[in-house]
Amino acid sequence: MVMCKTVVKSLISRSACKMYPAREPVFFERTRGRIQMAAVKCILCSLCAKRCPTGAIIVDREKNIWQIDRFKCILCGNCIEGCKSEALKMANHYTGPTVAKQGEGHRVVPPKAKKEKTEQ
Amino acid sequence: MFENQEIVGIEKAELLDRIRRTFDEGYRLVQISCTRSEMFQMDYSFDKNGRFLNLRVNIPVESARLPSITGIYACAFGYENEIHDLFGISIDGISIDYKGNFYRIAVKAPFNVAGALPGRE
Amino acid sequence: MALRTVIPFGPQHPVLPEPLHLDLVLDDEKVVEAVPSIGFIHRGLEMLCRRKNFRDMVYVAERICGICSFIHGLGYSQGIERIMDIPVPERAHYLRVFWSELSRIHSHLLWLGLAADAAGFESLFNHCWRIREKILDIIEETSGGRVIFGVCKVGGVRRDVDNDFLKGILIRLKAIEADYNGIAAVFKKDYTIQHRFSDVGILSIEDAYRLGAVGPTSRGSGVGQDQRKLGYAVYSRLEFEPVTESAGDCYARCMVRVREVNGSFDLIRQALEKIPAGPVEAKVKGVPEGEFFSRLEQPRGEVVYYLKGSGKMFLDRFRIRTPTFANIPALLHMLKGCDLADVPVVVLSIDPCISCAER
Repeated sequence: MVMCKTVVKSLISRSACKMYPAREPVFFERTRGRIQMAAVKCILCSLCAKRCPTGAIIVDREKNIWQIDRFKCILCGNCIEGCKSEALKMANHYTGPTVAKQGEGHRVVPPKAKKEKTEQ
Repeated sequence: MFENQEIVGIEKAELLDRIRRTFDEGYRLVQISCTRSEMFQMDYSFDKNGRFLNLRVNIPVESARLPSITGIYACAFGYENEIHDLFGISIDGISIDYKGNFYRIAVKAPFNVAGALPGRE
Repeated sequence: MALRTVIPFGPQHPVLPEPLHLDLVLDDEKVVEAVPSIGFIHRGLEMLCRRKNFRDMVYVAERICGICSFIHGLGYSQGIERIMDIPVPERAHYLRVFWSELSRIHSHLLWLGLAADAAGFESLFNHCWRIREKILDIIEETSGGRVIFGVCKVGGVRRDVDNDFLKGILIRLKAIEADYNGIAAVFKKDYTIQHRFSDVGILSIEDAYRLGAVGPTSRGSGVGQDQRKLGYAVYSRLEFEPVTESAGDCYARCMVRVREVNGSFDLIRQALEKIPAGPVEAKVKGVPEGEFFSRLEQPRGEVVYYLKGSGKMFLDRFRIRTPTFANIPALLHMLKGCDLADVPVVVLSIDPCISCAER
């Protein structure tokens, strides 16, 4: 008998389900979803790779590649706090599944070449 | 902000007497822990109404043997089995002795390593 | 002549959230003895302190357990701050209390749902978790993660929440509390729950103290110890009393948790009214040298962290004694004399968090 009030209330009110994936999920502003990298701003200083606690970020200065292993990333945000050129941001949407386990690489124009381009 | 923590160093020979006295004074056993440096540092921690007392015994690594305190504090069997499994210290007379099968681990005494392990900082 | 059999319980069982194995020695249908066996989720996390920077260890500490994750991170940070004498700002302490109490509410609501499920009352299980979803939404809005908050660090907290937002949260918590009181009334008055949980798994007050039981397991038998009374963070400035019951059976432990949720709502209200302005983190310089025993109150009981540093970036020892490990001897004592059909209810009543117990 005690349960009656709750049962009637849940019968007449709206469902508490979020109906994912039929409906788009609504994320909050602060939700830690995915690290996003803007390759144009990166200066290859590798501070992010040094601060990563799991070793998910690898910066290759000879080949000018910035790599992240999405499976190792724990979305702690240390890399974002360490980035000097504001190339890294935390996006709030969900990191989807990937096909390969290797790092996702971005080509970065090294800072010297960038400087020469603007001076030309 | 924090309570007073009393750490008392005792010898292995007076361990059982000291613990029986602690039991008679009404302390409850909080934990038994072991730290490996040059010696094994055993910490027996007790608490009564927020007052924290810690008895510390240092035993050498080569001849690591201890008497069990399960005769006084019956709840100590879990901690003593764990220390035997992880550090390889022999403890005589545990009331429920798993003889090394408490934790299902592949390597014997995995925590018995002194110094820093290799790895990135 | 009674028939003596040995029946294995676990590691997979519908009532257990995590794997635990018990060998039950039975005479006909009454349990005579229980022999535990753990070690299914032993990950050796304590040894990681030797190869990870002491600042990065807070991430490992948070991931020991999913249900009680924030308080693990808090205990670690508190120990390091005490060893290195870091002055943590006031606002950070209040925010830590705010998140700790939210963590306690969500953990108890999870347990109440599992307890209803163990009694066979599946719709009540879903109602408890529906309320828990609202708490998890608040946690996600303020810290960024639903279960692993990622917001505690050595020296303070990593995120600030502005005061207007906190006022909005207080209003929402009032509505959530009204919802919760409707569900709590079911636990207090319903015939099924009372019949299933009463007079099962009795632990007397002397046994609870002697066997080293902690948390709601001991408070349900009348032992009034609550480590929040030690006054860590800013608990020394908030008013509350440890919740105790005297019957010592599963129903008493259930009632302790039901009432503690109301206590936590009240603590959050007190903390958010008194929260001062200011910074939320302090700079950390140097390396830890020294040792400290840091004791906190988790939803399941008293947790003890022993941290020892000797002047290097890596700690020497990081030892955690979790409440479930301390409650196992009490559990074995409670199981003697109960029926086989009551074993799942008794095991669930200590709130077993085996991934904590076996880091």
